[in-house]
Amino acid sequence: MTPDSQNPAIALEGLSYAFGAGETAKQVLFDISLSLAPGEFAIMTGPSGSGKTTLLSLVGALRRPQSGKLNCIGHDLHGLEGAELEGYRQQLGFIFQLHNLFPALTAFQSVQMATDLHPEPGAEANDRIRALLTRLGLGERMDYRPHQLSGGQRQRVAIARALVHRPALVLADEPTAALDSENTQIVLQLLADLAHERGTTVLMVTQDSRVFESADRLINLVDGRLDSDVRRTD
Amino acid sequence: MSGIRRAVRFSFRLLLHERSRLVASIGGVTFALLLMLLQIGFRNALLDSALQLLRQVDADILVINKEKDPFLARNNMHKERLYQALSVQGVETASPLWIALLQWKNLDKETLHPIRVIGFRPDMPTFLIDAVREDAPKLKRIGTALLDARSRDSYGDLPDGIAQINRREIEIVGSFPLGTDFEVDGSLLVSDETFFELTRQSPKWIEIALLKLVPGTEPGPVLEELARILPGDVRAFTKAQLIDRDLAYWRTGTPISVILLVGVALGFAVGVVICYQILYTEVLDHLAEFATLKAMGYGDRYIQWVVISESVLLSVLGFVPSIVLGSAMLSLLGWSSGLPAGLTLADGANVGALALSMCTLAGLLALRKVRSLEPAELF
Repeated sequence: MTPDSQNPAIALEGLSYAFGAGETAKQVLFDISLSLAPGEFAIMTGPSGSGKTTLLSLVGALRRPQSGKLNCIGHDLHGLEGAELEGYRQQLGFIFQLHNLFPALTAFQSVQMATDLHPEPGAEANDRIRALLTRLGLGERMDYRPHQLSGGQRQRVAIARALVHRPALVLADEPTAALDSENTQIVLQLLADLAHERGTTVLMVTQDSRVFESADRLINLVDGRLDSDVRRTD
Repeated sequence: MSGIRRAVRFSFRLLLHERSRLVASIGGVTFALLLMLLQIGFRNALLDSALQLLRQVDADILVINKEKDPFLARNNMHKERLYQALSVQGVETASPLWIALLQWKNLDKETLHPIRVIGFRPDMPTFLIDAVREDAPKLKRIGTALLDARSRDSYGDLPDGIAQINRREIEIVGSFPLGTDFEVDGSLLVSDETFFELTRQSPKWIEIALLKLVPGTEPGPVLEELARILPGDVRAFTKAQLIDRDLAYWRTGTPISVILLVGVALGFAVGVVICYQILYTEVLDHLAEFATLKAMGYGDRYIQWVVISESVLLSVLGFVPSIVLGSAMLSLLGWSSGLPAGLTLADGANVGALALSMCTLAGLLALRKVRSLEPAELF
């Protein structure tokens, strides 16, 4: 896959965004144009308050775009509503900074919440849950609830939940912040495999410089503007 | 597995996870339902106690003073009405009934307590109670009585079987099961002659005329004929009509019945508040998790099903102990007061429906928070 593909997974053109309205409005994104091809693994960095997370939430259809064009995996995100919006979100894998796991659910059941949205015949989905949790070092912890897991283990459950249904697009907000080096490498390898073997586009927001070398692209935002966009394969 | 079934499974997991919170939640719902059940039980006690004497008289048609409303109110009529009624074709027997409120002296405590004294002719069909039918011949001896076995303890013990009523000694020769009501702590059955001795009342006046019809006679034409021949100071009803009239009186014509209904409504309102607090806290405590579900592509409808399923489960889990506790408490009340306090299957079904509506309404209110949930708040 190359960034010049005809059908980009993410296509932003002149995207701007402001919180609030009128005189109190605070503009956080200014005229961003960006394109990510299917199978690309991009890392977005930038100082705190530069608009990275806002951009991620716009691509994830968690906020409504205000101006500019925003197309992702075949969807125009302007005016996306109801079942179409839910359908779009179901094609994503969202990894948040906080794991947000239900205390009542075991690791297995938490990940199952994602596969439940994509019913499959037989036990294939459950097999995939077990395989993924095992790959993330949680093979012995599948029946554990969040309070029985460490912070890093919880985060890995949340990562498994975001990836188990083989999403077309993975959006990750500081996914490795709670992980040690070994598990950070496991997660990065998993994301890279998804991108390069299954064509999943990965857009990861992070300040963690340990992970930069795993990415195909490094995008830097400063004060809501695209400061640099470097293809590491160039 | 369908979306609804998955939502139900998920809601069960959420609710059953925190045992201490679950127990507290069930306790809250049970408390609210218990409030309603007790009010319904008290109302039943009011209605049943007011009707128990009427239900136990052996009559197809009753002739009473037109002012006698409700049935337990004391309004007598001339004895001639009894004979006038007996002259109507189709009437087989006409039995008089006398009722007075006298003072029973508790011989242990030297205290006076009102008691309903009912006079009847022992050789006439008057009551449906087997014990009365068996012991009625004993009452032919003047100065004897049958005491209501369900009378309250306030009448005291009678070691030698002699009671004192209106300063006259009466020998208690047997008992019968009837029960107390909101006016008196018990009843006494005596013969007509003993009644006149006790009350000094004129035999010319009776309280009720109990008519038995010739087998196979339709009551309608008899009622019409009674209405035609009897003067305007009395009215005739079938027993069922009189029961319905009294039920309507106690249900709608008395403040206490309305107060007890308001009690049920208050219990419902308390239940909605308790249930709402439980569900709202559940949603609030897992706001980020529910927002994550929405970010994953779960719709509002799925989350609504989760919350509604939780509310239904809560209503079921609260209903079972409330029925057990409510029945036990009302039985205890009945045992200690002699009132017929209890619950019918219909009451149970009604409270079950109320529990379901109460929790579902609370769930719908709690859902307002879920509807306003924006997954963008996760950042």
